[in-house]
Amino acid sequence: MRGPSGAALTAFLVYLLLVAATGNLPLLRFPIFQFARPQGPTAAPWFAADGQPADIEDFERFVGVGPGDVDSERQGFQSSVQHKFDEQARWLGDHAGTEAGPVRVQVGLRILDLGPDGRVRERVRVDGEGTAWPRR
Amino acid sequence: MAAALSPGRALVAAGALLAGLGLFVRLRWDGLSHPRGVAGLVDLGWLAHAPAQVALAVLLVVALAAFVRWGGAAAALLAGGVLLLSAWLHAWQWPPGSGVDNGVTLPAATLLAWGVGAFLADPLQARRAGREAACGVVAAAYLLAVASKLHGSGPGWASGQNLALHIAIHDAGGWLSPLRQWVVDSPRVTGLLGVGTLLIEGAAPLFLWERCRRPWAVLAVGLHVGISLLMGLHHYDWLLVVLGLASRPPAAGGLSADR
Repeated sequence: MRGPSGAALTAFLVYLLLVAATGNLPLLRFPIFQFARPQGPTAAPWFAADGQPADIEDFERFVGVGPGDVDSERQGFQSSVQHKFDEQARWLGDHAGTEAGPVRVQVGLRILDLGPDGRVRERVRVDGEGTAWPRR
Repeated sequence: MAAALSPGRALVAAGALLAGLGLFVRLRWDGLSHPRGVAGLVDLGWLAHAPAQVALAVLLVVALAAFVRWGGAAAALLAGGVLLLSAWLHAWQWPPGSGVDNGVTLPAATLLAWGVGAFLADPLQARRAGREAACGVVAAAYLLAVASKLHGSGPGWASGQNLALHIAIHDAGGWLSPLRQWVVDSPRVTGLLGVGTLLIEGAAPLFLWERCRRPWAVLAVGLHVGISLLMGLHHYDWLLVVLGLASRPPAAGGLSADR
């Protein structure tokens, strides 16, 4: 079988050298593929509408809940989805309302860890409650 | 003479277009309320406004069309450059160090590598050299993915528990939630998926060999479909780039212009 072409091998090595030199992937700002093994409880953002998990981007004009209710620091918990906290806080900040909406919403944390049996356990911590309007 | 429309280049361009349009939609949807400049030196906030973004989108489409038709260095570099600029613009809107959905990486990197490879090669071999350089970048990117996993977590990354935890983290409800929960509760399945992921990404250097590209691309399809179903992470742009570069059958022998 014919070996790799010079162009392919050169590009391959140059890209790897760039990583060695910059300490990160070119064009990326964080270890996007790492999915590091958590050493303790890990957290992800939680959002619920009328008590049910929902997509925050389906709602707007939030009242009573805002970016300050998003625990981006998540003291004591690791997270591999920090960007989701930032996105949630930004969405709340950019879609604040003044009139109470028909939907009761909650923001908080989903806290996941491994139980004694090695299986995933999950609990929810609610950090803020308010109302919102569905987006049309 | 100039080759006819290349299915391989079309797939690569489709991946780049998907990445670029997704980025533009995201830029508009997010509203870009916090435009910033490069290291505080140059204010590029004007790029956040609709006219500039429309211009970038049009430029990307034109460059990709030219790339599909002729596969030249200029078109590849222009398209890759537009994606790179858009990715940086998007990244500048978020706090430093935070995760950013920057999936244009592979399409942009492969186009830039294609352009550089084609530019540096003998004119008769430009298209083939560009394509080969792009394949080198693909091999490096996926190899780095597995290296990143092992560097961060060691072989324990492939444990069923780790992958179960990450699938659960990304499960925010929806119609796929029952499937994801079943996988999370099945240690053997998650263990197999973890090992499979490391093996597929670790085998990425095989993409350097022409004869290995199609078989590895099949594995990559499985990898990305699995990631999409179980974690809701959609990298179809990456997948289209891989399929596009693997679409050309191995050369019978000797050097030939890319088709």
